[in-house]
Amino acid sequence: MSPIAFLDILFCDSVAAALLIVVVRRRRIPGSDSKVLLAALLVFSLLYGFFLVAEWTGLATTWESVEDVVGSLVAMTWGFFFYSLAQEASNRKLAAREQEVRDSRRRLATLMDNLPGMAYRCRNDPDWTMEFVSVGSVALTGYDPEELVENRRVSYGELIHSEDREAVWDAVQRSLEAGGPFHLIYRITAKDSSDKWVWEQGVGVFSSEGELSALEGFVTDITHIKETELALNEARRKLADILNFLPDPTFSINNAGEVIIWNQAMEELTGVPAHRMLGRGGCEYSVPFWGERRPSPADFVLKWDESSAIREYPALIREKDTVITEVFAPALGENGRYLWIKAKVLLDESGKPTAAIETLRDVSSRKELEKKLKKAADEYQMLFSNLPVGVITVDADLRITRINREGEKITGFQSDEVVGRPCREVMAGAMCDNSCPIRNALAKRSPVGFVEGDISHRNGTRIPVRVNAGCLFGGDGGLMGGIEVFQDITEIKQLEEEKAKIISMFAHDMKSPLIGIHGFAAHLLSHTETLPADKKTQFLEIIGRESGKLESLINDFLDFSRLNLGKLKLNFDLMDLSKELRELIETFEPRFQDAGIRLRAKNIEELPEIEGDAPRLRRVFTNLLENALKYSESGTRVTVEAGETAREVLIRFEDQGIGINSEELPYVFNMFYRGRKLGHREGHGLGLAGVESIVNGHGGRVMVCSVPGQGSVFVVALPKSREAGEV
Amino acid sequence: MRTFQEGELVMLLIGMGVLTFLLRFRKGFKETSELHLLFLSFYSFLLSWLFTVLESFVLYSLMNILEHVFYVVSGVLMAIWCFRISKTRGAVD
Repeated sequence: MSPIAFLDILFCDSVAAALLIVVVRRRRIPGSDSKVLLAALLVFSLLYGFFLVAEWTGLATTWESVEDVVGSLVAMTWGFFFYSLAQEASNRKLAAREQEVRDSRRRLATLMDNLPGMAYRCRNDPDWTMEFVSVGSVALTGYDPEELVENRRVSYGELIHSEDREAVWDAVQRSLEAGGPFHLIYRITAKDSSDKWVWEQGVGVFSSEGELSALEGFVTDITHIKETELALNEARRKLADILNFLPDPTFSINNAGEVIIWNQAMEELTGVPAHRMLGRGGCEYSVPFWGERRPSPADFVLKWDESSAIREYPALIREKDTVITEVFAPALGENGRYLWIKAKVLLDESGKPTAAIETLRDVSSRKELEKKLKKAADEYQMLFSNLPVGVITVDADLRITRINREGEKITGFQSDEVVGRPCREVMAGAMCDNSCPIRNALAKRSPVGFVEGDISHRNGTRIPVRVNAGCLFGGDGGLMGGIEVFQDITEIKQLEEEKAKIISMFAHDMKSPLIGIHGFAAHLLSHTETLPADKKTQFLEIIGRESGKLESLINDFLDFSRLNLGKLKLNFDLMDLSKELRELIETFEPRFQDAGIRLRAKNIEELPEIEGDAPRLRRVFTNLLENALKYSESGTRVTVEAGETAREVLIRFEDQGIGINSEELPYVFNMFYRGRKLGHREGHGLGLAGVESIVNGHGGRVMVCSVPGQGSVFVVALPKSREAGEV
Repeated sequence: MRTFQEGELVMLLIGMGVLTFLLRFRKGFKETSELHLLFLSFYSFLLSWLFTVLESFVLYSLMNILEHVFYVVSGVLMAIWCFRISKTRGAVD
């Protein structure tokens, strides 16, 4: 067997195997026509293979023409087979597309049926004649699609609310002219005569020539949304009414910082009408208050920024989602106003901030009142603290509630030590047991005045006081407690003692000359006829001298008293001080010579003229020279020296006498004070008191320094003019 | 060398026509499974017919051998294709 024959037989075997497979597993071979053609192809191929083999068996010449025919059949069968395969593939694709279309239609139908509204296709005529309506029309209008299509029972145009028909038509035509979709909200009247709000979206469908062929769209029921919206608007209107009714200025901003509420009180406060402020953002609402844009507390409750908030509003207090502060708004009113501000964030259902509301209150009046109250309290406190008398207040149980500074000084206790303690523990006076003025005042509910007694200082010293007590009543007339005013009368008591002492001494000093006068006068009367003339003269001289002393004493006392009381009138005139001193020294010089004391004048010439009462100043100088003469020993020296400063003339009287103890120096100008070591020297203690009174009456001063056993220096300083003295 | 036969040329022309159809509508067969085996089988047949025609003009022995080899290749590929599609139910669908 030749290789060619082997190959041909192998070919026949392969084709036969393929044919066998097709035949045996025909049910698993897909296709119908193509399966037959495949079988035919294989049969023809097998037949062709037989002819090929036959060429080698000698039959070739006989069957050669038939072989070519079979070969051609094989070629054509390939073609038919491929065509069949392509056809079947095409059919399968078509079938798949048809199935897809069917599925799509089914999905569309399902979608249409389940749409919450009505899909439609209609003509652009006033009746909106429907060509297609989805089953949603039943729920929306109450009519079946069949009843609406071609206006079989009712046209859709008739369902549209009569008030809205024209607006709907106009809106749709405008959209069609613009070439865009239309969105409408209007009312329809359903089959059950109920009005419904509907939302419609549609578009014009145009042919390839640009002709409008239909309208397609969707209508859905939004009655519940509309009702909710209407209810919301009503709620907003009510809220706006409430906010407008509020007496406090109130505004609100949304998340974007735009004003959404600006109530009537706010209009009145700022003078800015709501329509000019609503919708404005960028902190414009702060301009009427500050004159510039700046965040308000409402901004901070929406977006909390602590550092900025404290910087802008140092008094700001934050409590959860609320802030409170008080500020001065300089741009408000003529001179600015004080505002109390409260801002709160408004949250939605999920707890997210949606807006902030801020309410303000003009507290300028309150602030002014607070200022006045504080001023009054300060004044009261100042008055209470600085009263020159001690004051304590007590409650109804006589426990101390307040004590002033003078009270602290008199009692020796500090305020914080006594407040709350029983009054008697602090005052500890003799009156506490039986005649406590404040207790009596509270008992009688009337003032108790000018009671004198004593209280105990902290250190145990008894202090004489004069007490006034009264009740303190509250605004409702109820008894709140009492007040006690007590005055330390230690000095008054001392003055009274001094007065008694002065009167006693004055009487005593008057008594000696009066006794002399009385004695000699009585003797003269009883021995008028027996006494010799020279004795009578001597007695009368004594009576005259003692009367002179008495007169001098009374004059000094009167001058002193009048000067102290301000009743003595000094006769001011220009006086030559040098002349006065010179004449005085000339007058005194013989007496000093007789006493063995050297009187020296120094710089007394060319002193300026001063305004003064010459006779009384002469008494001053005379008194000082008399004292120098009186308290100096023989062989000593007395110097009268004058000098001047810009404003004063100084006259210095220096002696080398017995001097004055330092303990006695503060009292030498006191009335009736006499030194303890004066011995037999005469004096009634009014001289230096008179000197000081007269010099003081000239606006001058008198000073003294002394060393016991070495002498004293008295300096009289007189102002050159009365104006200088007053200064 | 053998004499040229018109029948062989007819087979070749018909085969070329089928080839043209295949090339033109190739995308239509995309869903046919194991398509490459079927096409190779057809191409082998087509080559056999080409060699059948050529053997009358040049290299008779070689062309003749090639003709019959490609017949075998074509038959074997067809058998394999039939076997595979019969094992894959719905493969042509």
